[in-house]
Amino acid sequence: MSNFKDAVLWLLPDGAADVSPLAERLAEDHRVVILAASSTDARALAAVSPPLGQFVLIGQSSGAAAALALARATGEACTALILIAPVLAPLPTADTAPDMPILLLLGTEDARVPPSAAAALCAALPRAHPILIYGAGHALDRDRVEAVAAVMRDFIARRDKFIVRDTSDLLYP
Amino acid sequence: MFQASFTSPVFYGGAVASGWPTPVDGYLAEEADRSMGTALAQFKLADELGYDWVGLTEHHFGPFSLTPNPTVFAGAMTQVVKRAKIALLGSLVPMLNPVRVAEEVAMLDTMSNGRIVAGMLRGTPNESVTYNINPSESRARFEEALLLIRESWTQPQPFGWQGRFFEFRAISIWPRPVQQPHPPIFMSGSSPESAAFAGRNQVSLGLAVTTLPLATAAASRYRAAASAAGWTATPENVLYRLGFHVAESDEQAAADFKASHARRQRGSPVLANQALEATIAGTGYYGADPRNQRDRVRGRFELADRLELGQIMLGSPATVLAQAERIRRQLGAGIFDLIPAFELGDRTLHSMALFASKVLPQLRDT
Repeated sequence: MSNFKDAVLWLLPDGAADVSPLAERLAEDHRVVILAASSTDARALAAVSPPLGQFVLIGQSSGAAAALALARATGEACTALILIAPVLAPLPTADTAPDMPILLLLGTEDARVPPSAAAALCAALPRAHPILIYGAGHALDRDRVEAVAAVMRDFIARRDKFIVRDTSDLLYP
Repeated sequence: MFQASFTSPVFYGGAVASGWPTPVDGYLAEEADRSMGTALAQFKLADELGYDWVGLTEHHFGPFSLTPNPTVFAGAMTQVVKRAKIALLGSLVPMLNPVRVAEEVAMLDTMSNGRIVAGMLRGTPNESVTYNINPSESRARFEEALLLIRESWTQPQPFGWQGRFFEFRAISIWPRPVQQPHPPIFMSGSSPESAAFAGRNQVSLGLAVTTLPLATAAASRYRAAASAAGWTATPENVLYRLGFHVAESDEQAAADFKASHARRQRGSPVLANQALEATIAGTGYYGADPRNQRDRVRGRFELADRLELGQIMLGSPATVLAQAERIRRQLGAGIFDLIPAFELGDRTLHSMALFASKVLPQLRDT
């Protein structure tokens, strides 16, 4: 947990278009590995070279279920989980939820996974903290790149301590 | 069902300095105290007379209204107004902390056992200066703040908000609103942008500082936007604010009104500093329909025009009833927000009583 520049493993749902501009943003100072959710298990992960070491796992839309499974399967290597507009049907039960900080990102304009889905998702994932991305739809990583990048980078760096502001509001010294 | 709201800006006093922000020359603590006491007594009376709502406005830095924070005054009203709804018309959310507004309104809803109406406004143009926000961003801030406040009332677990103008990592307001899922929200909807936003987001509409023709056009736009969003806006979703004074006869009402204007020294905060208003107009504050929206808030009309334009109802109970029915029919408004002719002491109270006993029951029955 001491290495705050953990690698980021991003599981894309099947049929996802190209790489999100958000992944490019994260790649500025993190190693970002992007894999297809449907073909990624612990064995596929072991084949990544050089080895990932500790990593933060991102599951997006229908890639979220694979991310939850992988987070459970990889033990301490996966240090935190970020779920972007997760489509989870059925919802996992709380006793199978990964015991790690979970950032849950939902777009306020997302008709598929609307903000009202936060309650059930948080009940299923007791360590999840929802952040609503104002004005973003289901592809929230594309709709508001700067806003999503800012909160994700902060979460990757500080995990659940990210609710405490650490940037200055000082106007003029 | 027709509803009547009695709104007071909470200021009764003599001549004061002009301009905006208004210097404190002429400020008298005892007059401020009297204003608040008088307003509280009028709200209590309005409640006893059977008005459905009593309402408050938010204005800053001048004598136009002494309620820069209407939620503070509403706290006192919860202890005096026993039956009527208490309407904040409204909180100037672009320049406030939206989480704080959500908390305060939820407190008031708890203190009043579910009688709060949550109006949210951008404020008159000058108010952008009050807490130093860029007027060109006031609409975007308003829309975001309103939706954040609504989420704060309805999200059942702690959540964060990554907005354009507001950023919070953890929100979980206590107490919760008594009214579920949340208190009714009204917003000013005179401009095309506002009516479209209100319709899209199922927010009720308030039309104030306007004319009947402009308000009618705005209400039509709103109903169309609501239909497009899959719901039907009813008269209960449309509030119209106007002045009123009722007396035994038309002649008496006209004489009262003249006396009221002779005594009243305070002007609109928009007109009080026209250079400031022009500067703010230059930022794009008025949006896509600047001529109508600007003329609307700067308009000054003679009494005959104000009557024709539906800005005021004045006369005997029969005359005012006819005026009210014309406005209501044309606009499709189910709520009138009534501003009294001030400074008339007993005549103001008498007007309130006449409207409640001779006009309001007829409006409710039709």
